[in-house]
Amino acid sequence: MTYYISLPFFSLALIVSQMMIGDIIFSGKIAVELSLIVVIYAGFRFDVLRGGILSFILGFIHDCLTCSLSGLYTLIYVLIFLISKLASLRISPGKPFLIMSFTFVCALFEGMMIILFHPLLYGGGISTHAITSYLPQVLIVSTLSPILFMVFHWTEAALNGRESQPVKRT
Amino acid sequence: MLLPKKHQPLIIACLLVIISLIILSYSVKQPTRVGFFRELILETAAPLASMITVSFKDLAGVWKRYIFLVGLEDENGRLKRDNASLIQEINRYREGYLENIRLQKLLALKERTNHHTIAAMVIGRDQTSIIKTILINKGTSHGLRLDLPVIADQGVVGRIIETSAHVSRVLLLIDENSNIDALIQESRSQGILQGAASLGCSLKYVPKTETVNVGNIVVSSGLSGLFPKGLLLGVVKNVEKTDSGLFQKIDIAPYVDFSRLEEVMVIVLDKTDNIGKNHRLN
Repeated sequence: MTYYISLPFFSLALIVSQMMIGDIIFSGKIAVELSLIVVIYAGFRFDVLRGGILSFILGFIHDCLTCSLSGLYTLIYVLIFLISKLASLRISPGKPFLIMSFTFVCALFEGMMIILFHPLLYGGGISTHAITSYLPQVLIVSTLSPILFMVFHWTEAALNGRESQPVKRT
Repeated sequence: MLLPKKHQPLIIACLLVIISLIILSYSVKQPTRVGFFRELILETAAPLASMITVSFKDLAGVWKRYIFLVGLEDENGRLKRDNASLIQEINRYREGYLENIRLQKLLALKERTNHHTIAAMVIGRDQTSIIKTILINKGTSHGLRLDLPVIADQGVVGRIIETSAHVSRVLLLIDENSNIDALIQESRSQGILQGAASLGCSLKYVPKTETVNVGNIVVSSGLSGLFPKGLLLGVVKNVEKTDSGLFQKIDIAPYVDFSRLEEVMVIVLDKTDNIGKNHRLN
């Protein structure tokens, strides 16, 4: 129960922090989407209920803080979580290169979803500059993903007071 | 949970996707409406963001100033180009502004003059040689002819000595070949103002009996028929009365700064116009 109560606060802190990191370190030119890695990690580690709600809340808060419309990132994060959940049946989270590649694919998927939904939501095409500036973002996120996977794993273990185990595949 | 254990993950997944789509479609339909949760999150995030910003302000400053310099070179190049372009633009405006001031003075002069005048631009100057002349961009096609007087806002510039269809040469007041009938405004003493090149001009043939003081104003007398009466020529800067001779030696400083002339006005007189008389009547 503590998990669900703390989830909105954790999500809010994470999104605000990643926004601030992007703003402070990269002058707002590149966003380091840590929340995406959390969602992918949840797909590999958590069950559908816990991970799904985490992704939903993260996406919703992301929408509220960075997107003019609610629901876009919520949908994308939930879909990425579900894709990760399916991928976790085949990919082991202990293999850094696979995690990196999978995160790269997920980040690209997110970008494609945004490009796809952009005309529907904002009534106009996305600029080529926005697309080209998104690519370094994808690379950064995928490079960081194995390290953050380890960090999340240690945090999870520390919070649980024991070595966390991957959830049983359902 | 009341859901069957076997289908629980699938149902939860479907529910989450459906809820996300509902939120998205609702948001698309009513984009201006800020929901309660959205407002709550924005309100909560603001102090958190400001707290983080304040905490990392110095660190961010160091990072931005010394480490994260991506795009700085491009920006620097762009700013330099912008700067050069803006300097050019400011210069153009400044030139336009100064030209406007000069033209306003010419216009005021035109309004003061009772004769028909034609404004002209100085397009060349030859003041280093023996003959002191300037070229102006108006000629016979504009109604100019030989011996027409040329003035500036400060006073007389000279007279036209050569003219073609679109260009005319003006003999300056300070040229040694220039002779203008002049009089001293205060004492009404008459003389001939002759150019003295770099020394300015000298007023000749003023008898020793006449009282002439430094600072007296010299104007055209209008007697020769070339220059209208009363045009400013210069100011007395030195007076010498030698023992020998009948006349005083009077040095005149012209009012016009010939090195800075840019626009002038040509007074177009009728050939039959009796300038001196005309002016006296006015």
